[in-house]
Amino acid sequence: MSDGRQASILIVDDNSLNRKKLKLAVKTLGYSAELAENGAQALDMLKGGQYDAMLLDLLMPEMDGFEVLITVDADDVLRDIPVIVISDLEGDAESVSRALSAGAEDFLPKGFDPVILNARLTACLRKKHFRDQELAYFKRVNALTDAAAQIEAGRFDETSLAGLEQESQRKDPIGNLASVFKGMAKEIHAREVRLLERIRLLQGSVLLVVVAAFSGLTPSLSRMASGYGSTPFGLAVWVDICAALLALGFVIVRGKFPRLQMSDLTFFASWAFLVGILQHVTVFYFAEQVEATYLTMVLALESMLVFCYAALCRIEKASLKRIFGLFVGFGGIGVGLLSRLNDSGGEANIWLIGALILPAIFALESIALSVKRPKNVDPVAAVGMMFAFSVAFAVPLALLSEQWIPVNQLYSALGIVVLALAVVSIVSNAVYILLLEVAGVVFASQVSYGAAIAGILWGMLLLQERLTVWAWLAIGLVLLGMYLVETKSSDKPVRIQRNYRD
Amino acid sequence: MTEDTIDITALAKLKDVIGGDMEDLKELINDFIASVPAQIAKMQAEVDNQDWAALRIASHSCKSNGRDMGATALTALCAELELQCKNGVPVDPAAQIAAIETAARNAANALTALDLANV
Repeated sequence: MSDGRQASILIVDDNSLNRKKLKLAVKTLGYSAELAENGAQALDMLKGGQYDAMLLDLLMPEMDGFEVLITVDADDVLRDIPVIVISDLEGDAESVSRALSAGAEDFLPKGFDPVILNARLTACLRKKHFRDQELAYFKRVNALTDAAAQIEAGRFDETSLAGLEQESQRKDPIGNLASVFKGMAKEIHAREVRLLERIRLLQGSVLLVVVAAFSGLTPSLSRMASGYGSTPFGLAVWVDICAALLALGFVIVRGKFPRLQMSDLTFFASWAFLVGILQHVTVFYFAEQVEATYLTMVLALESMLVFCYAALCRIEKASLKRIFGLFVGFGGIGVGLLSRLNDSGGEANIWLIGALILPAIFALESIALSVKRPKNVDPVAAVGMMFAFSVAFAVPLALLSEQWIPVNQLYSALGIVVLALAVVSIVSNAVYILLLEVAGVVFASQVSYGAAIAGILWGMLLLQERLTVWAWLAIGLVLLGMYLVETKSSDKPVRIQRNYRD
Repeated sequence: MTEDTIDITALAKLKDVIGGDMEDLKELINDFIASVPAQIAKMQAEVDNQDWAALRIASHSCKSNGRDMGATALTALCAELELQCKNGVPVDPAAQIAAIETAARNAANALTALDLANV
């Protein structure tokens, strides 16, 4: 046949002697033969096997040949198998006519001449061969039209065009067309992926700058609050209260307050403990022991830790380019801080090593937010919930440390600073969540670089210092590092918004 | 008796159809002889049930085998019974079955005695 195998004929007859006779006759003509005792068995065999023609008795008990013909003719696949009916009904013109109308290809009496059987089987098999070639051709054309439909629908990637792969290997006009088509589709796909990556990098960079800029304001505002007589934990309590009220109020007004599960509340409580207690306490503790510039350097190690975790857990792809980018960014922090080191030649000591726990805590927050955050909760609502839980942790801490700030003390400039700190906290945390979604945890972790640079810039701005060459070099290195680190690769199929019709 | 009961040209044609192999022809003849009693019994059962459609199929099958074996008398009797069944209720089917049984027995005996070298 078209695929080079021996033609297979299915013989259907309830008479065992006839079956045996027909099998011997078919084998004599050089074909293989399989036998069915009745119509139902024949249909089962046709559906499960690969036959090139069928010799069918008409008069059989239960399901006769006519029923088999009607069933076969109604089947899209089986109807392409030519059927020669063989019966003793040669004198019955009506039955012959009925069989041909029902889809039989030809008719032979049981007392047939082997030469006639050979001629009619050969004719049927030739027709089947052409039909097979026709179907194979249609299948190849369908592979192309399917691929075109996918591209037109604007949703495809390399795997969805796999049907073209085999086709493009063939050295004929359709194969050449498939090859050209596949090449163009891959080119379009690669271009779209690059474009989306650049958009994501741009979005990520803008968000990162916003987070860094707001985060960088915190130390200055904290120092201002300190100047108005606040205490660290007392300040934390009021900032947390204001942030929770503002964020949750904003969410309620927008009608986006989420339905929360117990697991969501557990997450927000854990996040609040991490940020409200662990980060505050450790930062205050080590800030007393380690020189501020070194502490900033140590905090910038968060990016490295997040990268190591994400690579080990295969959250994001690890590459030399990204590692190099992180080191370049870290170098930028070093340059930026060194530019401000005039008389602070502090030596590394045991406290500096102990302070390594700080970036670990910050990295833990980034990873938890990236992996465990309830994705159905609005970022501002999430931040509001976190601050609400933080209040619960911060109040006893402030009371125990005798750092509680009375309400009437807030009816002053301190109240405005507290409000500003609350807004800064909401914006920086909510935008950070967006940044995680857009760019991934590794890219987002560079906020620590950005915050350090922003701190330098805010400091220079507030102190009205000029930006030195070193400061510009530091900023340039951090930006270069961000470019090299790249945003995460999207695991979603690329949807290409194109219209290929006029 | 053999040449009267069996049409040698029909057997020769059958031999031609199956590729000319004498062993295959012998096997088919033996199958026919072995299947005759069961075929007659089935026809008798359909008469007892008065299932004329089933009797038509059984006589059609017996006719087909008889024709291949060159059993002319058997073929003619089965063809007549098949036709009557097709047209309605057969006339005295029991007597017809008895005649078919005799013709089938004669054909089987003739085929057993037949020298296939003559085919």
